[in-house]
Amino acid sequence: MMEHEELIQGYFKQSLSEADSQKVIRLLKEDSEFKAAFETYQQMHMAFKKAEYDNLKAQLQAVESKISEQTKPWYIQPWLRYAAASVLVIALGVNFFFGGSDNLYDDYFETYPNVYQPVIRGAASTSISDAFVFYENGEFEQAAASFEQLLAQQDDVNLKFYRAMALLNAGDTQQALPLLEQLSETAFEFQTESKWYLALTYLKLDQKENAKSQLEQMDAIDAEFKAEQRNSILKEI
Amino acid sequence: MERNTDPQNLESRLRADDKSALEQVYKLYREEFLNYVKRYKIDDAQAMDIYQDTIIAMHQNFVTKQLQLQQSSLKTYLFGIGKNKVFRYLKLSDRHLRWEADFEDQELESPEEPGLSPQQKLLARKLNQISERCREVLLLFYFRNLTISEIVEQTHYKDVNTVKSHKSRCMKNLKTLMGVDQ
Repeated sequence: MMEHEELIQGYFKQSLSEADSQKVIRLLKEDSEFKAAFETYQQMHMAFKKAEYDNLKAQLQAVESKISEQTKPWYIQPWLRYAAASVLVIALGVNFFFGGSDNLYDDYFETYPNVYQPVIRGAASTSISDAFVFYENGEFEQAAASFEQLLAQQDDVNLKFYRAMALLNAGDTQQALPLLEQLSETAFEFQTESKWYLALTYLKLDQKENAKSQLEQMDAIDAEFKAEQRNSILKEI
Repeated sequence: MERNTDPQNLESRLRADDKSALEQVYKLYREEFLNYVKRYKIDDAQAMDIYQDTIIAMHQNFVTKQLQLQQSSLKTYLFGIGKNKVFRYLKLSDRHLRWEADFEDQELESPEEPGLSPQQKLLARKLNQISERCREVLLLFYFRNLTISEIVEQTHYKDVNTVKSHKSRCMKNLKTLMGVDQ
């Protein structure tokens, strides 16, 4: 003989035998106490069904919004946008801390033209013109070596300047630096240029204050030379 | 991972009211179900709604009836429920269209709450406001249809009498809570 409680639970579980189902129907008609218990149970069951439905619906909607987010194009997906932004920030940061000045050097450095001694093709070669031929052909290491040999024979400030230029182009900053420091304090044809290249060299070595000072001094000598570039650099450092 | 997607395992987790199993099933058949519903010319938002209701109905059948699938697979069962819901939706919207003039303001009733009385709706709200422990014992008894001894087996309650007294205390609380709003 099943307890009333068991009958009611079985009814909602849909696990009652045919005979027990008939019994529930009969008790609902005849037993008011059973009827009240049944109705309370039904109220609670339906209310829970609704409450659980609402909770599950919210849960599935949250799952769904995650799924549809994943299928959006990358730039609409928030996390990828943030990822892209952080890559950019990191790149800028790395650039700022490690490569910033070097990049300024690369941005602004250009080989200074040979304005000292035009290379006359086919002319009987002198060692000075040899050096400039190397220089103009972009063979900067040989050019630097040739200028060095020439300088050993004669002290010439202009040749010094081109040696420094050849060294810079060859990537030999260490040797170029003392030459440029000396030249930038010398009054001669390429003093402004010397200061300019010295400033760039300082930037490459991350000596911003020194670079700044050189760039500012250039105004006094030649306000026109690289004025635009100087202003941009001064704004950036 | 393999163990978790095993159908038998999924079913027993659904019976145990495991909500993460529900999410798993949801993701598993979502694509296929939405494609299936497309043929009935139901718009995307509505199809999504039907799928979610189908998943919930499936879950509630597992939870309240301790359903054991004898012959069909979980997928067949799910799509069976889904098909019924699609047809019911089509029938309702069709009727709604034809009777639109007469029942202009009548909202389509959600299939999940057929004739839920205002009293039941209020009770449903209150059930989400009572203490966690009360909600649990009442849910296990009234919703999941577990007997008092089954509740003792599945929870930390000491014995049958503790469950009984806690349950009746919680019902009393709930009635008081209901009285406030009546």
